[in-house]
Parts: sequence; structure tokens; C-alpha cells
Amino acid sequence: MSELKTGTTVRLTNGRTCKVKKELGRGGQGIVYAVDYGGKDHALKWYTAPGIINSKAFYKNLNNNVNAGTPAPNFIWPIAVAESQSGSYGYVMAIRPKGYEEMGQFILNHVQFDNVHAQLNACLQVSTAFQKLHIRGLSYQDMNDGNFFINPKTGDVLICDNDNVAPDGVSISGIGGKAGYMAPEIVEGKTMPNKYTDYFSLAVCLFILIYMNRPFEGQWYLSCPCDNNPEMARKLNGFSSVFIMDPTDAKNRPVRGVHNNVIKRWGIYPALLANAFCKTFSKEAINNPTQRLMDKQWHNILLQIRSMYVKCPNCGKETFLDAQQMNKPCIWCQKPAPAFNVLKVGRFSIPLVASQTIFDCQVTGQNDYDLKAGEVIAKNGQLGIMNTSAYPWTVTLPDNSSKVVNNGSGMPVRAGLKIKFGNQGDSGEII
Amino acid sequence: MANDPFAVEAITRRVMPLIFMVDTSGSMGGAKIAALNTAVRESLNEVGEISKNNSDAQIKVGALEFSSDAQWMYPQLEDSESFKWQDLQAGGLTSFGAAINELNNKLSQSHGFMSEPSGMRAPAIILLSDGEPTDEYKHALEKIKGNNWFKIAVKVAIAIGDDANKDILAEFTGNIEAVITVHNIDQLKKIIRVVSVTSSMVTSRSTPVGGSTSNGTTPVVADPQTQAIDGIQGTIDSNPTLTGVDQGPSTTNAGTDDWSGW
Repeated sequence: MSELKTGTTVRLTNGRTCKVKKELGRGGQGIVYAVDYGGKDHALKWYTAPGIINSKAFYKNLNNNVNAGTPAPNFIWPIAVAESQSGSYGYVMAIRPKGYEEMGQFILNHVQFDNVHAQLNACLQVSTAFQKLHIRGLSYQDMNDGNFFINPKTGDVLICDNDNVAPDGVSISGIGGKAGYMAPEIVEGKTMPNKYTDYFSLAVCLFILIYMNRPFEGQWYLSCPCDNNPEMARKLNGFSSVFIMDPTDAKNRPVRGVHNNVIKRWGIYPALLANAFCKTFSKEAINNPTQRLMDKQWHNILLQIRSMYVKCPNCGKETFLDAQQMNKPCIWCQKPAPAFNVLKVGRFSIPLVASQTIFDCQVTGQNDYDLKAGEVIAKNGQLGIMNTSAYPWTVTLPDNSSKVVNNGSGMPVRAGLKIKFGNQGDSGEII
Repeated sequence: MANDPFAVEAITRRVMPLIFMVDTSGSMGGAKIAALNTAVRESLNEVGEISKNNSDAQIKVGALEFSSDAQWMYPQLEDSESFKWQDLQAGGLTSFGAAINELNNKLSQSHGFMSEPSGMRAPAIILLSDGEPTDEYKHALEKIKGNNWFKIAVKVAIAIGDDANKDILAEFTGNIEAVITVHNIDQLKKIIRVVSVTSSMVTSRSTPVGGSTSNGTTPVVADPQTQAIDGIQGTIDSNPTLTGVDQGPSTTNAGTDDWSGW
């Protein structure tokens, strides 16, 4: 009898209490109630699954996670654990604010990102949040579309169901994951979830958010009549799975009429992104988890992709400009962009076209990836870069003379100019 | 924007058939069939909501009633979001064998329900009965056990009262734990909901590992029926209003039948 009645006062291990207001929903592991905690509305997840109720290790891990605190603000992290009572226990967390939609609603096309900026921001937030979680030596262990709540206007992401989070390599719940998101080695029964299986699930989520199809569901997958027959599921999602865009194996290509989105979008987004998915879903990486892209790599790729999504110099609509593919036509006007300069700084290559933003994280390596450092502006037919950062830029000309560009001042976009961003920042060059 | 290069459509979903197989023989008359009609209709509203928001599978519904013969409510599966349950009437014999043959015909990719262009998920079959067959069902049962869709299906039976032959229902489900016995109208209505909803959610759940393949012992993801049975058991165990229900061979509540209506 582990259900709670409205009005029940639940004792917490931190010495405080919360009071049950109503049921919000129920799932496989338990029930979520709205509760009053400290005078404010919170959610209480209350376990009904005997495997969890009886697991001392799960309970201890939950307490450890509460004590350690959240790795990143995106996680709806457990903030207090209930003492064992009424035959079970649970944990208190924040209530999801309004304006966020389940990732499943995007998959169903019930909601759409307002624009590509919001979409890329969501991907950035997801990869950054998991990077922060992994850096702590934790793994998430059951990543799927049900864990993400995304604001379609801004791309802000909240991540729920953090109760399976445990030290990397420790399986706390016995949950393998959700079909389609689970790494092949879990499907094959070779391992329980760990950070490498997280990398796989992360890539699946990013692929879906960007291309709006599932990365392993193509022609071959479709030819299988029933995909949740365990033996079939093992074949389709285990070591023999085939990425739909695998450059070395075309047997599972997307089918026109069924997988239209990826057919349409694959060529729109830069090759850098496509190549990253081809690498992380390659046969090598399916069989060798250490070959998969880590969240930090996704983070950097997405920062680069974000800089490539700019206004077309011809038609003014936003498109992807790629210095590696100068002839690639604009997705709107179908014309290739006129030649443009690029700021090469650190690992980034930033097309210098009107209204481009240069971000602080790209020139200083700092963490806040929304902080702006500069903006490309057009004046009298000439392009310049305005310093909007808090630090001076030292610009070295081809004759080795130098000029200082302070906040609010600008410099021309001209090949050969080298820029040192503040005292701590990187040096870049316009080419 | 009509020619927006980024415009997308919903990601296609596989179809999961949810099939109600209902005994409408004479003994089901009165409060039982009335409660069943109400409960299935109410549950389908919930299943429709689950399907609407399920990013993995669309749930389509089929209904097969059997008394002196067996017939489908509709000739094809219908979307759970718009399914219209027609009230079933009770009367006649219990042609279980005929019903199994009818089900077997439709569990087919070439001439049955299993041919959706986006592919299928394992079906869930919910059998409801209060008695035992009046026809020769053994041959039909042997035959359907060779049907791959039947093999992989979630099969749950709701035994309505002590007169239901649990052993025969277990022959159908392949597992006595998948037979749930109810003893009154209230339990019947609640368990129809629990079984329908749990079976509908099997396709979109994270799953424990530790099942086994039919030809080996390698731990892999559990099969759909095991997941459904675990889910139903969890709900029954944690819900105090379901203590009067018997799952599997349990006879704890035998003798408490009360079919006096509302």
C-alpha cells in the first residue's frame, strides 16, 4: 500500500516535511504528487515499484545526489528525500514551469521550435548539461525523449527523472533504458548503462531534435514487421544496427514517404554536423563505445554550427554558410553566397557576414555560451566588427603595427588582421 | 510557410493493436456486460490520450466478441483516439474456439491487421470471460500458438468471477500470472482500466534488463508480456482498492463474488 492520500504529511530526511496536495501523474516506477514544501508548490515522486522500494542502495544513492546538489541548472534535481513511511519513500523536486513541452510533443509535431536558433540552443543545453553531469563522475543511465522538457520559443531545456543518476558504472535501478535510445551494448546484454551508453543516447536525442527522424529507423528497420519482439529488437538495435546515413552501408537508408524529414534536412545542416553523426553512429562506434563523440565534442560542434547559421548576404534570410563549401546555395534563394571572410579563432571558424555574433566562449573559452563579445555590422557597404565585450581587443595589422579596439569601437573585416581578445583570450585571424 | 525548407511532419510511429476479446455469452448478461461496456468505453478515452501523446507508437483498437459465434465490431483496427465502442449484448453460447480462429486470421501481415505501412508493435490482447468454452477450442488454441504475432503479443485475461475457468484462460495467455480474477462490478471496471492502460504503455516505457531470449540465457530487454504483467502486478499491489482482486493462481478472494449490479 504505497499510495499517498491528499493531505498526508510526509517526513523528510532533512528534518522538514511536505504535504500532499494532489496526484499529478503516474508511471512505471511511481506516482508524482503536487506537494507543499516550505510554503511553495513542489513535486514529490513516490515509488510504487517494489524493486526500488526495497533497494537500500537506491535510497542511499538518492540521498547522495540530494547532498551533492545539481550539476547544472537544467536538471530538475532531487532536493529532499522522504523518510521511509507508508511502505515506501520518494523525493521532492521543483515543479516544471510553464512554457516547456515534452520532447515527445516535438516528435509528434504537436509543437515546433520557433526557429533554428531555439533548436540549436536546445541541443547545446542538452550536451552542456550532460557534460557537467559526466564531469562529476556520474552517469544518467536512462536518457530518452521522456526526460526532456523544452521551451519551443527559446530552446531552454529542463531534464527530469534524475533518480537513476549514479556514479559511472554503478547500476542503481536495473533499468536498461528505452528502446531506440539504448546503446547497442545494453541491448545485447553486455553491459548496464554507463557514460558511454549515455553518449549514445545523447546522440540519438540530438539527431531527433535536429533531423526529426530516428537515426536507426530506415528501410531495413521498416522491413522488420515487429520491432519490439526481443529477438528482433536485439537485431535492429544491437551490434548489427545500421545508421540510416551510414556512408559505408546503404541498407537502412530513410524511405521517402516515411522518413521525409531527414531526407529533407540532411543536406540543409552543415556537413560538419552530418559527419559527427556518421562518426558517432559508425559501425566502429556501435561496437566500440570509446569511439563515440563525447558531450564536450558535441558542445563545440554545436557552437560552430550556431555561428554558421546567419543571414544570407543575397536574400537576407537565415541559412547555413560553410567556408568549407563556399558554393553551397542558400536554402531560400538557392544562390551561393558571395565570398566572405572568416574569423579563425581557437577551434572555431566564424563567417564574417552582416549581423553575425561573435560569442565570448569562442574567443575566451569561458563557459557562458550566450555571452556576446562582438557583432559584425555593415556600414556604407563595408563590414566591420564591433567590440561588445568588456575587454579590449588588440589588433595586429599585416605590417605588425597594432591598434586597440575597446568596447563600443569597431574594426574593419579585412583578411590578414590578427586579433588578441583581452589578456586571457585566444588570438584569432581574419582570413 | 508552404515552402519552408525546414518544415517537417510528425515522425512516423509504429502501430500497436489493442484487441479486446469479449465473452458475450448468456451468463455475461445484466450488470456484468453493462459494467464492461462502460469500463471499456471509459478506458478507451484514456488509451486514446496515451496514444495521442505517445511518441513511439500509435494505438489502434480491435474488438472481437464471441457467444454462439465470433465477430469483430469493425472489420479493421480503428484509431484509439476516435474509436467508438458499440455496446455489446450478452446471449448465447461460449464459442471460444471460433473466437481464437477469428483472431488467428487477423494476426497476419498478408491478410489481417498487421500490415500498417509504418510497421507494427507487438499487439496486446485482453480476453474477458466469465465461464468456459462450449465449443472445441483446443485445436484452435494449438493453431494460434504457432502464430508469431500471437507468440509475441501481450496476452492478459480477466476472469470475471469464480466460474471463469482460469486454467483455460491461462492456456490462452501462456502464463497464469497474466490471469486476473475479479469478483464484483467495481473491480471489473477498475481492472479493465488498469490492464488497458498498462498494456498501452508497454511500448513507450524504459525497460529493465534481465529477460532472456527464447534460445539462450543472455540477459536482454524483457519481452512485452513480461513487462505488462509486471506493470499490472505493480499497480494491483500499490492500489488499496484492488485488494479483492486475485492475480494468477491466487484464490485468496474466492467466494466473494457479488454481481448484484451497481
